[in-house]
Amino acid sequence: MNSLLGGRYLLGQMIGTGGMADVYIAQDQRLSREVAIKILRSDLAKDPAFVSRFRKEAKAAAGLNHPAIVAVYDSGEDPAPYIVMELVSGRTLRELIHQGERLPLHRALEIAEGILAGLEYSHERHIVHRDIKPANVMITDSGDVKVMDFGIARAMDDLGATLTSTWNVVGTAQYLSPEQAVGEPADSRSDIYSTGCLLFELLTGEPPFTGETPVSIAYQHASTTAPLVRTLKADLPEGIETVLAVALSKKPEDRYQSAQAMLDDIAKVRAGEAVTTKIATPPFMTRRRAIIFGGSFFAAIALAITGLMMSGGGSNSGPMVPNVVGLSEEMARALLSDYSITIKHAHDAVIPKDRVASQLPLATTHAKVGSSVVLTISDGPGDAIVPDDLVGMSLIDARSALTSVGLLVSQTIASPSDQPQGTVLDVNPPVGSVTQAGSSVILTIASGEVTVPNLIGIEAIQAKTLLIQAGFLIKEFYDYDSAQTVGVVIRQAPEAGTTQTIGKSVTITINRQP
Amino acid sequence: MSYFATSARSAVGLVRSGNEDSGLASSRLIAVADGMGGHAAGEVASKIAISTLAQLASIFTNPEIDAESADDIYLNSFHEIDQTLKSEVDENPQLSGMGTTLTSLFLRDNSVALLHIGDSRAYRLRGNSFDQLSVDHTVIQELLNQGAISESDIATHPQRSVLTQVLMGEGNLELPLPVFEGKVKDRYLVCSDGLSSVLSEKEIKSLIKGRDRDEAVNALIDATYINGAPDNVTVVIADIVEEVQSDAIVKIGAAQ
Repeated sequence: MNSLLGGRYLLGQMIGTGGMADVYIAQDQRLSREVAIKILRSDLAKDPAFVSRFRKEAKAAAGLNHPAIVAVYDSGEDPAPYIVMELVSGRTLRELIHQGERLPLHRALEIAEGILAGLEYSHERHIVHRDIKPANVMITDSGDVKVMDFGIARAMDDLGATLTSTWNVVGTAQYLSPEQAVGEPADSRSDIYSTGCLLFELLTGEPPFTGETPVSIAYQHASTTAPLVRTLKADLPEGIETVLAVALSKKPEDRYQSAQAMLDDIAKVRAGEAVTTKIATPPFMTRRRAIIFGGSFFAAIALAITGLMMSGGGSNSGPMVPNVVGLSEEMARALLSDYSITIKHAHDAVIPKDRVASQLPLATTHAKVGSSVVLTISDGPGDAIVPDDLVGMSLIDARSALTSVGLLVSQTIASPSDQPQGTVLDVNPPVGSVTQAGSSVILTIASGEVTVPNLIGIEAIQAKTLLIQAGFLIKEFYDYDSAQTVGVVIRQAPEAGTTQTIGKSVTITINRQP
Repeated sequence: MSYFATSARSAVGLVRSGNEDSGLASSRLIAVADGMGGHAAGEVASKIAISTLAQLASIFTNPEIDAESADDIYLNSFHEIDQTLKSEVDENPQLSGMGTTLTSLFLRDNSVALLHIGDSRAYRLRGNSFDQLSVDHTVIQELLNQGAISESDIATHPQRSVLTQVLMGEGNLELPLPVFEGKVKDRYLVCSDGLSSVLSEKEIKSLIKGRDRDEAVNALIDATYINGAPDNVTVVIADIVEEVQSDAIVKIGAAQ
């Protein structure tokens, strides 16, 4: 790739792919330095709400300047949302630790201290990471800790969860705080909890909760007390057991209220001093992997979920098939080692190439050991054929025809013609050509003047639909006017009743609470 | 007599490469089914649901049949679908694990009966009031019922798409058959979650109110595309009218 991203970054080698985004080394031509650029996969960058959130998070993260945080220098959106970051030479914690392996106590504490130092700094600036996990912690070649993807990683996981099929919830639930597991907003104390999970794993070789599916893990986070760390590894000091019990409290108010408070207690563990921070409710022993639900409202949810999992089996007995959608073939094979694996390939617009796009039987159904599991590996987005009867259609019909085969109108070019206004004159890529599903098509349409409808006071989505149907493109802005209903259009340009060339943009301002 | 006058459309969306939704529209019955379980399997499952329902519809919509029997056959069509799914899987083990939602409204005289399983939706627009008739069979709906979360949390909830009930050949379902009074000029909407998870109830209402049926169907689908159309989207709108407009049974999506 030779073109300059954002007019200044020359993309080089791809150094990683995270499923939702690809990471490249790039040369910043303006500052003559090497940077890393994370580019959201274009097939995943179509959700305007997501893109606006991504932009906001990238801006917030760009303000963070701390040795334990991977610096974000810049961000942009063309051709897909991207973030320009400090190039760190090293590996992620996820690559460095292997399941079942423990780190020496002093090294584990060092890593936790690095993460907490970064968090203390970001929390002071009211930025919550929301997705502390091994894949988001870099260990540099010189051994330093750097946390990356503030705010952004979780946005990506959410997108993944939205796009993956029912039941197959992709994402890392192992480090999710109880409040995040039940959909409540995360705050700085959610990061404390996740850091606790990570430290737990570094010290024992396994995260506090493991399970067959993300759902079961998430609900353990919400309802089951984490095991005391010394019941698993008796050689650990007593103080660290207290630190973890406090950090892993179910209620945010029972945890360390700041990263610094947790740092202070870790310092005491290092110095061999007693840790006196109070644990809210003394943790009781739970058998690992057992899901014990309290008398709270989660009991019913547990039944619902257990029912779902049980009903998956019917007459078949055997263990529950874990979710492998979204994983690489190698990882899926490792998780499904009890089964006989058959591999198929198919196009999939959601799941990136070379990852598992679907599995049969589905996750949570029961299947006998040794029975067959069919994995379909994604070949990337499939093909769509530009319909061959577009020329001569009205703009609205052409849009319908294109959308029903999975294509999008990205631009309309108005051209003088003796055809009725809005009639499709030409299509690019041309009709009959094979293109990627979800990609854009440019229509040349007969020019003509169209009356701009009144949009003031109308629900935003309705206004946008009216504009698209009239043959206009949309430019949207946000502002807040407390005198108006939230979500409606408060300004438009050009004004209602004026005429405008078909295919041009109409600007609307939507009322949104700041 | 009263009848449904319908308009229906199913679209792939901007992200998926195949359509796993199926839908049905006729003067007495509308339905949508959202299949799942890998590409081919999801299409097969939703198609089985809609085709089986269409076959049975010739019996339970027959005016010769008494009301009680009609309701009974209609309600029990989900057993027939479940059985058909099971025998399909027995014959083709590679389809194992496939399943489908089904949300359907049957109009008889002045009553509208809702057969519903999964997270597709049925809504009614009567005058200015727009109501959801179906209750999602999802984990999130149960959390909502218990007051553990609020409506505003749903969009960001990590488990929003996990179903608690679905048709998948298990033979273990018991369903109620809620019946609503149907009035001339009522407008009904059944849709897959490709619509209801992308647009809010308020937005859906603003798009179907005051438009003719075809326009409303197109507006709903255009609006999901404006919002990125992450999933297949299937929409069936039915207005209650006094004169029958068409005898045809229209099948859309995978069942087409």
